[in-house]
Amino acid sequence: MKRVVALVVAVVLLGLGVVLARAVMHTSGARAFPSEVASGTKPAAPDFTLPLLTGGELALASLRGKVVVVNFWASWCNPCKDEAPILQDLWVTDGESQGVAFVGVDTQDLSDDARAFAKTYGLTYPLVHDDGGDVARTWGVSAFPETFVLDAQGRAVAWFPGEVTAAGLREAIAKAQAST
Amino acid sequence: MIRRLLILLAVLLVLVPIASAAQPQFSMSEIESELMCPTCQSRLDLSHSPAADRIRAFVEKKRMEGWTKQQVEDALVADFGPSVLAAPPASGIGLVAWVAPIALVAGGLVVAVALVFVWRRRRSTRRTQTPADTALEARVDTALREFDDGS
Repeated sequence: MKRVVALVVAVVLLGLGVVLARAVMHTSGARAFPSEVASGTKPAAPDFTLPLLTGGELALASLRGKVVVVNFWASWCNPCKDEAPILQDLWVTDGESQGVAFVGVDTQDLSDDARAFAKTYGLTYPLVHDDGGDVARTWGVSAFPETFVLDAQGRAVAWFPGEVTAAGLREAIAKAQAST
Repeated sequence: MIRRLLILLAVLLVLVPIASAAQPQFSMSEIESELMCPTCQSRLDLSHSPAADRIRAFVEKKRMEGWTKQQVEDALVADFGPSVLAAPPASGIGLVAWVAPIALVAGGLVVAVALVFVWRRRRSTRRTQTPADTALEARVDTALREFDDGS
């Protein structure tokens, strides 16, 4: 009988332990990525494949070999509205023509709202929709907007919590281009 | 006259389904209590974040278009994932949320019953030992008395 009790107690404790570990990993583990980027260790950016707002899919891995600007946004986010024209201008002047890829990751948003936002601000760079927000969580995004700049090897060299400035993003792109 | 009535009937047959389809199938308060705000992790009816306001506007629009609650929830799950639902689906990983509390309570009951059983068993064992202990006590008393008398 004692063995049965011990077994039941062990199973219950194990279950609670798993739930607790998952909760801890969920809340603290994900934030590790931006912290690593900020500390300059150039961590490999987590890969993703997400549906494009215009149809089809985009895999981050398919952009390997290029510097990539990954911007997390949502249509309801006010700073994202201020940032959108900056990103679009940089995409035209420093992105497409210079071999730098831009990806906008729309998160925690209605896809219809996101399409309307893209139309309003005339965004022409690829925009993907993060269903369920899993990619934003994996990347440790806690508020919008947040932007990461990846070098040609897919390592994150810069992180912008909040709205980017044109000068700041240009500097980060140059840093990523110089990264070996 | 009959022709006019037939035309009226035909018009009604066309209009009634359209009108009933556009009728709201559920109330806002009903669905708001079943949805979560994705940015603030609280129920939609308790949240006033910009994301919650957008979801509310979307739900209201679709409600007025005659969508069912299930259709609205499906559309929201497609955009926000299953975490937008206050109650997780009773399938896949969501099933854990339903089963885990029941399993924990059942496990707790098994432990409680087992502990009571063990406790009662120990108590009855102690009771069965009592006569033997009394006899031993008596023997010790006798031995002590004999020792006292001898000295």
